[in-house]
Amino acid sequence: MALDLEDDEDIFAAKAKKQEDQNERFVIPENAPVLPSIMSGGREAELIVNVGSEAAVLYNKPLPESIHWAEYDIDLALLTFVTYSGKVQGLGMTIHKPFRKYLSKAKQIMMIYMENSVQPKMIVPVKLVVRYTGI
Amino acid sequence: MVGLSNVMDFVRAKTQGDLMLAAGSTPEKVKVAEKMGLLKPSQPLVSEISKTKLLFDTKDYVEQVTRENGLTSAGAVADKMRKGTNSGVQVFMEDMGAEFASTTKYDGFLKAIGDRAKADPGFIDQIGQELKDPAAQKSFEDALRNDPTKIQKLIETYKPGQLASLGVIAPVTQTSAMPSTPQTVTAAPTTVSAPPTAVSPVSTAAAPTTAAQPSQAAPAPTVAPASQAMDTKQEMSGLAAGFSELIASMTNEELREGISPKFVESLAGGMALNANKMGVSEADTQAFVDRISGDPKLQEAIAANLKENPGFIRRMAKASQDSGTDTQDLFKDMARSEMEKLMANPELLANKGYVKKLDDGLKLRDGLGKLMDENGPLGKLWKGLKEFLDIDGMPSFGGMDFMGMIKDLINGIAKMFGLPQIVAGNSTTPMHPQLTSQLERSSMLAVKGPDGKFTHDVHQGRQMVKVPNTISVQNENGEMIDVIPTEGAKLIAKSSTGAVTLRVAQSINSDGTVKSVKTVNLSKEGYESYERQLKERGATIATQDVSQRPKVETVRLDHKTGAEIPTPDAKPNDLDLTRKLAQNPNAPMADMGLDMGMTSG
Repeated sequence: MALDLEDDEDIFAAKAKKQEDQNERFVIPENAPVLPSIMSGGREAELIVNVGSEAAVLYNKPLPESIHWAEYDIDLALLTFVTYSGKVQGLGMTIHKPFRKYLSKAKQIMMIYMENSVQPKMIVPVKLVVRYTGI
Repeated sequence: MVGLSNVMDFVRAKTQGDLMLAAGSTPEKVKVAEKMGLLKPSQPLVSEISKTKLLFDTKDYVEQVTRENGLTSAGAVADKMRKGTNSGVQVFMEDMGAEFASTTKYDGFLKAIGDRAKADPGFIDQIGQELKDPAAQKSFEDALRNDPTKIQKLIETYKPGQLASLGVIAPVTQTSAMPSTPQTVTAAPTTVSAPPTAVSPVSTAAAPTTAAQPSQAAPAPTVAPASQAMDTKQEMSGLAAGFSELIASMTNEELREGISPKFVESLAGGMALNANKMGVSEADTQAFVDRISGDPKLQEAIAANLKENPGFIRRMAKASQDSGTDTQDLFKDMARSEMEKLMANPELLANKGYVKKLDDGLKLRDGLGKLMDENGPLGKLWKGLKEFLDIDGMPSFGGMDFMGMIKDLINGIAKMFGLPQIVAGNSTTPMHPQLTSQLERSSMLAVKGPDGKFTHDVHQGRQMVKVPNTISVQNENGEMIDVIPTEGAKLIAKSSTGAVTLRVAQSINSDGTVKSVKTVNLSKEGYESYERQLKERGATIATQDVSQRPKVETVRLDHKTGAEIPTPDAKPNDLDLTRKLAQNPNAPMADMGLDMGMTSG
């Protein structure tokens, strides 16, 4: 097949397809059931973000469902998690301004279960999707 | 152990294939089945049966049994075969199986059970209901051990409800029939050393729902409803337990011979079932099964590829039956994402490189399980992982994605706590220092004394107590102090005079792992002596000089207001993270004692 030096349509198509795939993969289903927030029911949690935009959530009681991905909504200052079965679970605290700069650049969040607040028992990195519309 | 489900499968056995299915089989199970009169010694030995090609034609076989039993679906057969799995009788048989097989004391009782089971297929379920309560099982076992002849007579004339009415077991109360309260909610361990719970978040989620169910426990139906549709997952679930043992016992050559397109179909069902258990959606797993079932060419390609790697089949079978250890739990979500990928792309099973990668993952899972079994929770996992990652003799693990992910995880945590950070949360006891402390302890190990032990016995009053072996070294004030020699000790400061500040073990466990850590200040001579004595003990000490690195800044925020919470030992300026970062966007790498010398990827 000869080289086509003019038509770059395929480049955009590939990029659009990739974006489309990602959008499909990380979209909260309509009417998704909502679980009580992570910081509820006696569960303690900590959000940690460092200057390298690495983030972790430590929690001391097992979560009801495994987390598939996380969403940071900059407009609403909320960090929300989506489980593998499509349920939504908020962190349960406002993402205050000092976090914003670093968390908005983070690519993933380490979910670290600290049994009894002491013993690390599960470490799972989950993808972080950042939403920002500027409203 | 002898499970009733296995033994009862002998009851139902009509063909050689039935026997093969019944045998998930150890000699012990066969022995008990013989004593019950359910298996004639002249029948083929299970080990021979396991080698038949029938093993690999499960789908045909299940369909055949379906017809013979007048059932409407293979799923119903599988359900029937699972019958009794949760009954009290099974627990009872598990408890006493070894005694049954090894002595003649219970032979009369076993024969009575076998006779009744053959005459009345519902017998086991009836007695199972009475033995559901753990207290009832216990009192029945006690009664049987005390007077097996009496219980034998009772079984011969048994009528439902008779065990309680004759006082053999305590009457089952309403309370005892209730589903048990979820352990993870009510019995959370309060100490670090408490046995770890292997409950995954998913199963924990299900627990409260179960607890909320009405207390009346309905007896399980003996035969599935006639309308039940053919269900590959259900079918495989019924078959998998017995097969995994058989597969584990087969040689690679035997496995190669049996891998056929039919076998691939069955395998797909089993893999889908496991993927389901991991949390992959039913729609995805069903699509995987449908795709393989409907494509004979793909089945052939997969079979040809799997013949090259029979060990993979063996490990898959084993993994499907394992409940998983804590270590395996640590990484199970990663395994799930791999299964999601496979379910979406079944042709990957025909790819040699991919199957090898998946097999490497299973080997790693096994390896992690062993590490965890030997060492306990993550504190020791870290040590194990370090050894694991550095071992040259495990080329099959080299370069695989799983290893990269694990390294990245550990490094990621270490790196995270080595940079200035902001923390907020509702924890009464901050967890992040606990995590860093865990990792620091885990990176250290006591060094054995000249006698090859970590401890020695010392009289304390009338008692002998174990005391860690120590070495005496000079501190910065010229006094001699005892220090537990510690591999992985960290040098955190070195003065111009040569005095050294070290982090070493303060207390240790019997296996040399570190319970707590302390800081010691040694004179130049003291440190040289410390190093020398460790070398004499054959230990290579990789102390890391972290004295030049600044202390990590941690800003803690009130999670409700966003206001900074001053820490007692922090200087006011240290809290002004925003200002500092504005001045120096490339903030230097700091250290919390977490740089273990690992390289990423």
